[in-house]
Amino acid sequence: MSSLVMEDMGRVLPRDSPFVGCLRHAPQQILMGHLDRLMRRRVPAELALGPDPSDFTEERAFSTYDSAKKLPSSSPYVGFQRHAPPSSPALSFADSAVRPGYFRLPGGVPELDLKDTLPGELPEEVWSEVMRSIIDVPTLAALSRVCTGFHKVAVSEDAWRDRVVRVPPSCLEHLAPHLSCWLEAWAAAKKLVLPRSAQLLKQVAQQAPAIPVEVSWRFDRHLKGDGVEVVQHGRAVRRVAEEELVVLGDAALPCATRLPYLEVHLDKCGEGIGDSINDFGFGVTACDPQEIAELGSVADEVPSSWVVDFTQSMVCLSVNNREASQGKHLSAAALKEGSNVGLLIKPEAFEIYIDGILRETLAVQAEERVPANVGLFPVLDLYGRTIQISKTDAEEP
Amino acid sequence: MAEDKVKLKSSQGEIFEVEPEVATMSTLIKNMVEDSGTDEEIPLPNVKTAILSKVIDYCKYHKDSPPEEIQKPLKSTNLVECGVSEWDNEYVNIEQEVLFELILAANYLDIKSLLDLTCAKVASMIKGKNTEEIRKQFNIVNDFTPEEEAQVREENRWCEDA
Repeated sequence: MSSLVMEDMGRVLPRDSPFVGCLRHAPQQILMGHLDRLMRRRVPAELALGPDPSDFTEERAFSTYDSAKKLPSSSPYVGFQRHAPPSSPALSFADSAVRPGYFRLPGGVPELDLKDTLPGELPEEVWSEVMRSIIDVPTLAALSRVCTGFHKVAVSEDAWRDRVVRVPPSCLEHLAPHLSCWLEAWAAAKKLVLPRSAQLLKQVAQQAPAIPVEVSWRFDRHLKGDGVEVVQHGRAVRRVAEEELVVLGDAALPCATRLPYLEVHLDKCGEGIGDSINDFGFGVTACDPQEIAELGSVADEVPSSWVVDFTQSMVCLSVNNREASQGKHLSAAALKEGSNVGLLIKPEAFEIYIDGILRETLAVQAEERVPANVGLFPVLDLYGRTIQISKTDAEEP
Repeated sequence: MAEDKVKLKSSQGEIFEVEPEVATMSTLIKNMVEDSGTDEEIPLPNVKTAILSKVIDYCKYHKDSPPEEIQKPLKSTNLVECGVSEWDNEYVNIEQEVLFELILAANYLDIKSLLDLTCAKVASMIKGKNTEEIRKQFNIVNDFTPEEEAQVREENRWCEDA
């Protein structure tokens, strides 16, 4: 036992190492080696010792742990996602060939005369048209349970035709077994907006390659400071301390068919910002978060970043932690609880929107412009009065 | 001048004489006029007199001013906030039974803008309501068997808390 501890001691980072403390600061290849060793030291006794404690050997402990706990190479958490394992549950698509709900009944899909089951004796295509005006994932459960006719319309392709289908991150785990059925219903959808999940995106690409897919960012549970907590399955983030208030998005802002636009809702704000000059800040980084070795204590310190900070008297744009532009039309006073604050990233300027209304334009010099064809990941800083924010699904105003 | 008008005959036998521009907002009537001219009455056996009268009111109003497209999905239960004009909003502020008959007529006569408006009205009556409220709104009987209901609940578990 002591030899194991001694060996570990020899490999553990010194206390003054820059990699001690915030695990996110450590390069992954170093980090994972030490994590592996730390995890080995936490092998449960029953795993390590087996039925007979006297039978214990170091090799047995390691091999037992490895076989029991080590991720297989096909795991979605192996590779680029190693920095973020437990928050994204492994999805099971095991039942994905099965049709949803009562379609599983013996005898298969009941042939319904929908005129008898839908109100007003309206034809099915009319109810599909009605449904298309209101149906989305949050309303689906209530609509499907009304009656058999509503259920049949709700799972039909026509009801979802030309609709943007947004799947919230909280739904992933339970959606997975029904995915293939729903991909049939969504075959004519305008696009699917999905949370970043390698497994899900792979399945969708395999089963429904014709459906346009957009990845929707959420607050990254791991790429954040200790002073903030990601809640609501990544839809919101709240402040729990006074320092280390930076949080990144886990996916790039969509930009294939429109300009990148970042918008958040100010869920909760405090009373005043005290002696501080600065308040909330938000922007983007052109750096893939997985490659960021050190997050920084404020958003401006994130590498390759363009961040707009609200201060008591103005807004200012920092490019790579250097002030690039100021705007006097807007200040932290405009940040009211319940407001939506948006940032439209144009090649030559950053536009700031409050509740969908353009309030300030910050021009950037040619050499400080956001590069074209680069993924831009959200960067936010819950400084000042900001207590909780949530992402919106708004597109460019 | 009367010979220039299109004669529409309701299911109850009443004749309405309307301008061709009004009548041909219906694709069905337009095709019939193109095939047979305006001399003969056009029978509309699926449309009652009261409903045909209301459809003609709509077509007369929009003959020279086509309605704006309704924003979908509906952002609000108030259709005016979804791009519907005040006149149109008032037009569909009618009893549910009449609304359904108007939908059937718009569908039969193939008047897309009227069908869009009436469907949007029904959709606005559903929007924001839970299952029980929707059933109550349209007098719908829950026709699921207990087994089906349980399976539908299970199927919907993924989107229950979305």
